[in-house]
Amino acid sequence: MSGTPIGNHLRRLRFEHGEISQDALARAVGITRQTIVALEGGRYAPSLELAMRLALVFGRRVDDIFFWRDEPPALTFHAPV
Amino acid sequence: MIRILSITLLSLLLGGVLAFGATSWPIRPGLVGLGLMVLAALAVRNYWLGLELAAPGSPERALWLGMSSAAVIAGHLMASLWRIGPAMELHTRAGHALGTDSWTLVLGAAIAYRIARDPEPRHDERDAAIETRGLRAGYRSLVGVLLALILLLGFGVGRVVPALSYPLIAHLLITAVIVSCLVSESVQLHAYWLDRSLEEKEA
Repeated sequence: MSGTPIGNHLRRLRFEHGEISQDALARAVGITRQTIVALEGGRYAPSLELAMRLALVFGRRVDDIFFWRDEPPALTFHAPV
Repeated sequence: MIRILSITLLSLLLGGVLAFGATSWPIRPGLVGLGLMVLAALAVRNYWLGLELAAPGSPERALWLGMSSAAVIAGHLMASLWRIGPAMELHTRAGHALGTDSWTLVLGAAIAYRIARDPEPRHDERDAAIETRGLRAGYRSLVGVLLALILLLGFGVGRVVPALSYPLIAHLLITAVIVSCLVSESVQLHAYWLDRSLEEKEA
């Protein structure tokens, strides 16, 4: 559970939404409080489903909440010739 | 980390002590073990209740209970096998005592789990990822122990194998399965500990 390249604004969003507790947020999206703690600490990167659930709870898009900590890796797509 | 190791070793030791009490104690060692497991579960439940939000999650609690119970059972089984010796037979006084005490300890483990488990169990994808890591380690350890047994049974035909009874070989295989469970649970507990220590460091 070391650091992941994905960061998030969960802590800030919790406070912007009436200082919702970690436990209440965890219950709202169907996970444990410990996972919210790990997410906020940047030690865990969620699955796409969990990321979308979190986005739904806060009424945001996934990329409003999650971001690359550093420059994203240079990925290129080579179309078949 | 020290807590994981010390609880595993203490539980193994308790199992060993119970095995060596089989012939001399006025009460069945299995019942003593069951009583100790229940008392420990009550104490742990109260401790976790006191921790409130800082208490471990449902899967971690189940791992602590499973790991300590499996260690007691493994310690008892290994020490009993050592005490009985390679010519172990099932339908003897020692064989019956081993069976009765082992199953009493399994009952104790089930009661202890029932007492101290999270009353409101919750687990999620992070727990599943940690479980996968533990299962992988448990599988590898099982393969390792089985390889050692295969080598023993395959190449020890002349000297070692004739001395081993079939019930003993069967119990060695049971021990291998319990040891792999112990490895799996310890690896998972280590992952939770690592995560918590990083959290404390950041705080």
